[in-house]
Amino acid sequence: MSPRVVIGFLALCAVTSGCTHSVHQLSVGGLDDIPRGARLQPIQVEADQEAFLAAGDTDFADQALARLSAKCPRGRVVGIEARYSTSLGFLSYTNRMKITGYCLREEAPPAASASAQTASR
Amino acid sequence: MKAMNSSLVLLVGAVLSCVGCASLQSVSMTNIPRGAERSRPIQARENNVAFLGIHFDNDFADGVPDDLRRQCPNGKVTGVYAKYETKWYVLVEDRTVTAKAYCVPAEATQTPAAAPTITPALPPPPALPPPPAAPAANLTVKRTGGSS
Repeated sequence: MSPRVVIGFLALCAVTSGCTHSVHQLSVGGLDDIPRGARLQPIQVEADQEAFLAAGDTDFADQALARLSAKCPRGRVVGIEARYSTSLGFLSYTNRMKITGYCLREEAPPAASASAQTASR
Repeated sequence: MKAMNSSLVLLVGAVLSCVGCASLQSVSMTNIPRGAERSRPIQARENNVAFLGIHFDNDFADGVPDDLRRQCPNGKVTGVYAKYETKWYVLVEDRTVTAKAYCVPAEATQTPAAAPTITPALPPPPALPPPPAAPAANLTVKRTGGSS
């Protein structure tokens, strides 16, 4: 097998499957704000942006935030982990923002139930 | 033919210079408040433009937190989302910091509904037995030196 064929095959693989992936940033925070015994619902959103040669804006990050808020319309979103990464292709790339968190649904003031628990002891 | 190629290059350059090449540098966010407390979003933005990307300081975004607080003088700024991006317009770089947040009025932050779920208090830890008293005969004092 000639070197040209090998190089051509590798180039074809790179073009068709995407060259590489890289994580630019990963942030985790807000886990200390979760009360003990809280009922948490894991939520996850993702927004991406296809770019050929260059991207014109970074609105995909804002879209990810908006989707995260929409997934938890009434509760608080806590313990947010945000990952910004890029998948590189041939003359193009895809920016991705993936955000996970917990939707913390706070019930009505638990004073009555808490006092009932205390009284029953 | 040569003139057409030059025009095409100029056209592509003009389009690229108008659009800019945007790069997201960093994103950070804090906990998002309850849905009822998201009625007043606030936003602050600062940017810094430099020829060839030669910037002379990095202070352009220092006023963003104060700007957010000015928009919420009597409330609590929470759910802060901050984004730092750069854009290249051929020879010019534009750095931008955008911060979005929610202004939660002071009375809303003091409502009992905002309190976390109360979990039963843990029982107090058992009292530790007192440490055995060392016999006085075993006490030794080592002198490591001194002037007297």
